[in-house]
Amino acid sequence: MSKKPILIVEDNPINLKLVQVLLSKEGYEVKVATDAEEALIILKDFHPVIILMDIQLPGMNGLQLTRMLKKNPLTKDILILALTAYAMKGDEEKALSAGCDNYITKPIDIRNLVNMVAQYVKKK
Amino acid sequence: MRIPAPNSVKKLKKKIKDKELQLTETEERNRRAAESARLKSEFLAKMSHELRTPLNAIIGFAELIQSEKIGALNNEQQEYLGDILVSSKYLLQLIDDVLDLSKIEAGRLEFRPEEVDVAQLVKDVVNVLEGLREKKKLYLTTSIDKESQRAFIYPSRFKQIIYNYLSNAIKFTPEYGSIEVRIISDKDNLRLEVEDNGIGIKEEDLNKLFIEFNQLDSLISKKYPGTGLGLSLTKHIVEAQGGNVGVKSTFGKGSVFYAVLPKKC
Repeated sequence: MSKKPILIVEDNPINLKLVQVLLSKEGYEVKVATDAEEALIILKDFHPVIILMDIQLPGMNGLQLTRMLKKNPLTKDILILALTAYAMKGDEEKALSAGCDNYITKPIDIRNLVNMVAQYVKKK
Repeated sequence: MRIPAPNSVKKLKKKIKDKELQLTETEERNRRAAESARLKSEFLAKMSHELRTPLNAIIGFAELIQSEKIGALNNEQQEYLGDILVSSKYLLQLIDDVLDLSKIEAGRLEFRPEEVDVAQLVKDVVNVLEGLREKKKLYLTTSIDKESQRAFIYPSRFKQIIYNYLSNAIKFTPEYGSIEVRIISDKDNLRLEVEDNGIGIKEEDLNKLFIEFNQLDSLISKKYPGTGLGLSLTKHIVEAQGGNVGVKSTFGKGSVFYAVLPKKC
């Protein structure tokens, strides 16, 4: 079976590394971007089944990037899981209304993340 | 009709003007107070985010190493890694509690009541705390009376209340002690009681409970570390739903903590 491609967009390098290591160990093909612009460049020739999207990014934020990708016919079918560290009410709703398919609250529970990604990959 | 003397008209006009001035001043003060409450709650939300981000990495990497997916660990390494995880999760709890308190102060704590299976909620909390109970070989019983099987309450906050009481009871009850979680209700109210035969509380200390960061004395807080926020949060959460909390205790014999919630809040 070929490795399923996943893109992670996250601006904090250590948190990015954590998710990258976790998912690589699970056997996915993982690419990473630290901001929206970099993500858009990678997406030109990389077609992930899932994007793990940090909401708070420098410049264009994760919600804006999600809206943009969901409008584009080439990228609208990619599943987007928001990574939210916001504990204030309403942020999960914001992520969902921007078009994210689901969200994971930080700190990430390893098993939870791996299970959720596996579940969504299976759906595809 | 009596026509007032021009003098007294002047006086009245001045009085009205003064009152108007006072009113605008009060309005201005209220506006400023609301604004500062909003800023404070925003600040806490942002700070909580900033604190969670590095904690996220600490907990995540520690769990990754603990899972031994990177390589096998010896017992000592497992133990210290466990210590890192316990401490970081405690820190996370502290951040969550502080955020909850700030939401309560700002009146932004949300309650979404629904029809719940009370026994299931109790079971969920007991399961979460099973490891701690087991470690101290405590005897735990639960009883839920017929009237309390179903209620219209906000499940996650109710679990938080049981959790706070039960984790305290486990903490303050010596090995082989016993704890009982009871739910008794009448037509209108649901009453949760958590009874233990632990260290108990001196009468003069009873009114110091339920206050933020007020663990009874430094000796106790050294032996039984806690955030000092659990009981105060419980009180706020219960009162925000129109209920009340309290405790009965005999020093050296044990305590009963209770919370009364309207069945339909």
